[in-house]
Order: sequence, then C-alpha cells, then structure tokens
Amino acid sequence: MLGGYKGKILRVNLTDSRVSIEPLKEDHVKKFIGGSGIAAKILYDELDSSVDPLSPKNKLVFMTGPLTGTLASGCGRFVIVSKSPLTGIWGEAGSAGYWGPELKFAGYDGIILEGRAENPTYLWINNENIELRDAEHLWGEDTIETEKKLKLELKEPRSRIVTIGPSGERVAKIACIVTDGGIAGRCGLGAVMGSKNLKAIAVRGTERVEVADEDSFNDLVKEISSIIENNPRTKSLRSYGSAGSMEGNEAVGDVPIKNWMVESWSDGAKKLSGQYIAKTILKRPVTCFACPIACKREIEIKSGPYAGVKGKGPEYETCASFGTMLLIDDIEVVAKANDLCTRYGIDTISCGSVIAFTYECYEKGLITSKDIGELNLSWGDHESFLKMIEMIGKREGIGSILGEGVKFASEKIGKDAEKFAIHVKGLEMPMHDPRAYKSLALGYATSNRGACHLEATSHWVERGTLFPELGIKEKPNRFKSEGKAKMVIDMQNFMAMVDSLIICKFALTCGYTLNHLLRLIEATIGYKITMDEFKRAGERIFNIKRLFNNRLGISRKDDRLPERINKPLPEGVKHHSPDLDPMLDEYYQLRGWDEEGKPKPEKLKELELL
Amino acid sequence: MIKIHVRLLGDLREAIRKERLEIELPNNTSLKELIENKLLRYEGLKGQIIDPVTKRIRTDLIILINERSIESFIESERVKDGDTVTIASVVAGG
Repeated sequence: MLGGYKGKILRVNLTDSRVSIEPLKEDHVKKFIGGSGIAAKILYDELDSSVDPLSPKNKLVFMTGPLTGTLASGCGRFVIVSKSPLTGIWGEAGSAGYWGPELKFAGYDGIILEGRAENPTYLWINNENIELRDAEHLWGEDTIETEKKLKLELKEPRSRIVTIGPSGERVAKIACIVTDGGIAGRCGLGAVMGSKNLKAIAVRGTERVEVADEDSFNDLVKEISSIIENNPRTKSLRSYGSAGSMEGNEAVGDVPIKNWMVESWSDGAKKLSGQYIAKTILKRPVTCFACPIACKREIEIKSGPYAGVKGKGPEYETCASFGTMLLIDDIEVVAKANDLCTRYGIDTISCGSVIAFTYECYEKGLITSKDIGELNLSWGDHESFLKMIEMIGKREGIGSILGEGVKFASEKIGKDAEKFAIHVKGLEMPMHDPRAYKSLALGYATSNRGACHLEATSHWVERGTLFPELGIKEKPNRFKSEGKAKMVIDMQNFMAMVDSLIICKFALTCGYTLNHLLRLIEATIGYKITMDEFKRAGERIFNIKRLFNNRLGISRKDDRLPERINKPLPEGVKHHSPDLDPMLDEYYQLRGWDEEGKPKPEKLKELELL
Repeated sequence: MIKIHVRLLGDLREAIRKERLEIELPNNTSLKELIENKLLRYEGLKGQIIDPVTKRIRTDLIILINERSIESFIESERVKDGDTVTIASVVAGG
C-alpha cells in the first residue's frame, strides 16, 4: 500500500452486527485522495439518493486522510459524511482532536456504518479486535459522562471516543457528534448516529502510520513547524483562540448581531472576545494531535451562578451564536451554554441561530408566551436562553420543534416566519456576514452542505490572507464582485483537497504553502503530484458532492441567500448588497456547469466523473 | 501638525496594554507613514504588524478610518486632524 494510508476500511452493518474489512481502493486514493474526497466517492456510489436520512438505509462514513496520524502539524482531523437529516442533501462535519489518528493507529482509514442496531449499541475497535457491545447503560448519558464511563468500562484510559448525547439519541436534526478533542457539529449527523442506535465508537490502536520517505518527511515537518512557530497568527491563536478575532471581525461588519439585524456592537464583542476569555475563565490552551498551535480552550468558572462549569471552552462561532446573535455579553453564560450543548450533543451554530430566530418570532408576535412555556424571551436574557437549550436537548415543548432546525421551525410556525430564518438549503448560516465579504455570498450559496464558510474560506482572502500559488497575490476589495467567482472556485477546490488530506485550516494559514503540500504528499504517500493534478483533484472532489446534490434535485433555485442577507443594512460596513446573481452566472460558467447549476457532460468527462 | 486617535483592538491592544493612543503627525501623513513612523516604535506591535516572511506590513491587518474600512492603498490613504484610526489583526476566526 502507499504510504500514509492503512489500506483498510471497516464496514459495520448494525442491523445484523456484521463487520467486514475492505481494501481501500487505489483508484479512489489517486482520484479522491482521502478524507472528505474518498468519503464523497463512497457515499455517491453506494447511497440510494431517495433514502430517508434517518432510516437504516442511510450510511454514516467516518474517514481519515493520508496525513492523519502522521506528525505533520495540524493533521489530527477526520471527517464524517452522510445524507443530512437537517438539509436532506450532502452532509459533512469535521473534527480535530485525537480520534482520527487513533483510528489510523488501530489500522483503518475509515468506517462505513449502515443499518440500525436493535438496541443501543457501541462499537469498540481495539486494533484488530472489533466488537459491537450493549450500550443500554449509556443511553441517556451526556457526552462527557459517556466518555468517562466507557474508558473505565474498557479499562483503556488511552482509548479515544466519539459519542452522541441525549440530543442525538432523540434524533434532533441539529444534533452533533462529540469527540474528546473537538466536535463534528454541522448537518445533524448526531441524529443519523442516534437513528442507528449507535451511542459511541471507542478506538484504541498501537500501530504507527508509515510514510513513504521518512527522512524527507521529517525534514519537511521540521521546516513547516518552524514556520508555524514563528507566525504571529500562531501566537494569537495560542493566546486567544479563534475568538481572538472577535473584535476585529465586529469592526469590519463580519459578526452577525441580533439575528443578523444590527450593524455593530463593539462593547459586546469586547466582552465575548478571546482576549476577554484569557483574562477571565481560561484555564489553559489545549492542543490537538501533533499540533503546535493549541487554539482550543479549556475553561473553568470558579465562582458566581455558573461556578463549576469547566472543560471545553467556546470558540469564535459559539461566542457569536450565543453572544452577539442574542445580545448576550456575559462570557460565563456563553460558556455555560456551550457546556450544555457539548453535553447534550447539539451544534452551537444551529442552536444559537434557532434561538435567535425564536426571540425574533416572539418579539414580532408570531409566537406567544403560551407557545414557549411562559419563558421571558427578551434579547440578552440569560435564564430563558439556557432554558431553551435544555428544552432543545430534551425535546421538550417548543424545543422539539427548534431541535429540527430553523428551516423546519419557520415552516411549522408559518406567518412569514421564514423571513427571520437565516439559512441556506436548511443549514443555519455560520457567524460571518456576506454583507461584509462579497465572496461569502457566493460561497454560502454554492457550498455543498448549505451555508458554510469553511468550504471556500474565501473571506480569509478578502481579509488579506494571500495564496500566491493559486494566483491570489493581492488582497481583493471585499465590497466588489469582480473576480470573486474565480477566487471562490479556486478556494473551494483548494479546500476540498485540504479536507481530503486532511489539514486543519488554522494550521494551513499559519505556515503551509501549496508547495509544502505537494512535497508532503510525495514524502508521505510516495508519488509526485503536480500543481495541476492537485487542483484537478480538488475540483473533482467538489464536483462529486455537487453531483450528489443534483441527484437530490438541487439546482440554481436552491443556490440562494436568505432575503434578509440579500439586502444591505441602512448604513455602516454592512451597507453592501451581496449581488449574488451576477456572481452566480459567472461562477456556473467558470465551473463548466449549465444554467441550472449542473456540471456539463464535458466537465464530467474532463474530471473523470462519468 | 495634526492630532489623530488610534484605537487598537484585540491582540494589538493586549500587546502594549493600551487601547487608545493620541498621536501627533505632520500634515498630509499617509496611513503607511503612521504605522511605520509611529506604531512600530512600540516593540509589542512590531510582531503583530510586520509579516515575518515578507518583512512588510501584514496584508491581513484590519484598518478603518472613522469607521470607514480601508481595503488597500495604505501608501496613498491620508489621515486628517481628529481622525480615529482603528487597527486590528484577525486570524482565521471560526
């Protein structure tokens, strides 16, 4: 087998407890690289597109990349893909931490889960020993307790665990999958796991990940690590985490405030920033596998009403979704809410968005106190906010509707509520505003999983992070449309490769160049790949996901933004219209897609996707 | 001479433990000159403002003059008496 890979995929059928090991296909490796790419190929080939995402016929694929588990900086990630119950289309969520490398150490590149267990079950992978075990005693436990109990039960403190919480068990469509080092948050994949009666996957492995040319690999890793260590972004991320950018983001109009209705809130942003966290509740920065950056936060609240909250701290997205979106400027409340969501297993972006939507519905009289269990829903109110998370986690009262996501909730409430439901294709928008960065509009409209800032990360370019090897040598004007279609395409294709190799995007911008990646591929896998082949593989991976969605009826009619986001705010830095349609026309043309947003046959032939 | 206000956000504020600076400058000073001649005198700001590879001012600094976002041309963009210049560095963020 080629270096970097283990050459084996586990297939687990939960209906009949059948476990088999299949070879990783070399053709998949060459064309789709790993991670998100190979997972997309598997799902595209195997999944009947008509399946109900919560039925046993849906598949849940966990996949690592060739760099996962090697000592290359920031390569501890893995991806999970499925047909999303939240959106009904391509669903994908990634996580950092240690679980992905452990799966490689156990000897596997990925896992394909299918069927549904009769009773609550967990999967225990201990190198070559694989067992499906009873999880009745863990059903109902939160994710933190589940991890603790499983490690004790297995007598393997070094095992690594992914698990769902009560929210996933109750198949709430905004449920996530929690790992010891991170959270695979988006697209409701926790509900897919819950629908299969699978509580957790515990892994312990003791094999190394072999690379093709160890000397070259080690030299290169040393070179990249040194660049990362000396990059000011590294120091910033280590000191303040991703929320260290909160104040700067707010100043340029990037941060959504009060359900995307308000222009600025600098005082609030300051109290929700990574710098403020560092002065108040930060216990220590936390690192993922083989990462020198340590951007994650461990927090502890020592006194006050939330004393005792400790563990995973909120990141930028959560500080915005639970903070600025709701006009809450108390970081301890945000940390408490983050802890609740971690324990229940709820995606914090979707959760904050759907709660902000509910506040607005209440403010505008679309729902009444009776509908919400007599809660006092006023912007900035701590008590009702935390109570709503509990209701979503337990699927109580209105929580059972909100747990289905903002699109479903708006359809259920009716009365024009969809005007306040901020999502694309059913996925709640992440915490970056297309009225501040023109390319985000196009990125959100065309991302395969719905509104996603990470599938292109083109707003980084508009902020001035340059990628000269992609031809991005100058900072573009963020308020202009010209050239954005090409830039978004280049970034989407590039990020498709980054998600397939798999490299953390923070680590990427702290020191990797594209040339580093080509050299890393050669040293790890053992064959040369040219810049053109690299870009082409990224394009192929992006397109196969689009094909998956086209098959489900996705076309131009769905590549839209919410009405609120299409209009600029009256003044200030958000006083810019996204101008989506002209960018979309150019985008389709450059992509080789027809007017309806479907790849043309000649494009598919060129990408070897026919 | 003119007097301007500089507002530092996030990392930049923490680097020198000051949020606001009042700075006197010759008339017709550019943003680039403000940064190079005044702000880089603060040792703590050097590492935040200068790109370690290119040794030039980072392309990903956020700069606003009186809440107007400055997207490029820091060489030609001039500051006026009473202006507030806001500067922040952002990493990935989310």
